[in-house]
Amino acid sequence: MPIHAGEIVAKLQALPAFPAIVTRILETLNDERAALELLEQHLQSDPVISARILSAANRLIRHSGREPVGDVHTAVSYLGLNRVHDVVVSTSLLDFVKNSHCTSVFWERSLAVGLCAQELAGLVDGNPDHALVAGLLHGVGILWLHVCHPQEYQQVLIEQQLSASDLAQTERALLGIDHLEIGRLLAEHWDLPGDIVQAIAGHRTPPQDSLPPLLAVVHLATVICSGLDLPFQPDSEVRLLAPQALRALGEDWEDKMPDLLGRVEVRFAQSRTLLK
Amino acid sequence: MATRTRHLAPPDLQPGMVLAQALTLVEHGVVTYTLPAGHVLTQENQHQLASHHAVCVQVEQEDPRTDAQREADALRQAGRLKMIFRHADLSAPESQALIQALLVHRSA
Repeated sequence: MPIHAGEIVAKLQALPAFPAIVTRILETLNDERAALELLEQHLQSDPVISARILSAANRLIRHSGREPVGDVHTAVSYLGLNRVHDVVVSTSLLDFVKNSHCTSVFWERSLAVGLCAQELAGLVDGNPDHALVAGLLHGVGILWLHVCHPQEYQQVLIEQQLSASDLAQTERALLGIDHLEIGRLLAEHWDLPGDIVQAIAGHRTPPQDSLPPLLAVVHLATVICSGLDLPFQPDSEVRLLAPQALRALGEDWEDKMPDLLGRVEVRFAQSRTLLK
Repeated sequence: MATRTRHLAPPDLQPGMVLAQALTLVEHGVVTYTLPAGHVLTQENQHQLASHHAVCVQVEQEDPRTDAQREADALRQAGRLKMIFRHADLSAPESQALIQALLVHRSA
């Protein structure tokens, strides 16, 4: 049964509401004062995220002999604005994913790719917040298909396994559309910045020429997370590793890769514990 | 005994651990904290790292594996990577370099 593009946004009510805080944070990135005010307002109104901020701060100081932190202001000063920022964006987007009743592997994979993309963005002087959001949402089209067409999508997955074919190709053959195009339509509907839309839609097949940096970063983040088994999936596979994406990281990427791989693993383990 | 490099988050550090790499923490484009490679961490360092928002630190640790165990680990990890990338074209030198970095990391 073919799925028409017009159906994608029309069926959005089947998913939880997209967290408005994410688009608001992306709008205030260039104004640190506005970003801080926005985060403080948001933390006051969201006890779940506030609790996670307190938990992260107390984990950080647990061996220091200091009294446990009980207020969000002090917790923010211990963690730093960037870390608080990451917790708010990750928590909001992962709650959105989890409330869609997806598997834990799906949200853990989204988290890993988001964090890895953020680390890779540092190598290309890219925007780390855009990279985090693009990585967290890289598979949002799959989420939509699971929620809106569960039986048809199960058929896609069975067919893909039987024929050992590419996932997006199988989706197009059976449904007339793939999760990348669905992701693009959703990201545009949510008014996400153009580079994020482009990365969600194109990360599986990066172009040879004029490769946008964020698209290269998200492509490599998916490859690296598969290569590190973040998270472990027995049937994990990478069909394309685009060398032009590695070249886009600059000349000294090989020297920086060992540290980056270690940082991604540590951050993934910490964030998974915090967000579970 | 052989050693290996480990990445650890500040809460998982212990006094006495040795830094594998020089550490430089930067906030808002300003260097806020540095430690040289080979430095032996103290409890005070741990507090400083936490208060400067360090994400993770590379430390040198003893590797209790025998040579045979290390070789077996490397073979197992190479097999897993071969399985994950079984459909991918890895002929480009850049692709081979990434696979090698993944293998070294996974085998350490």
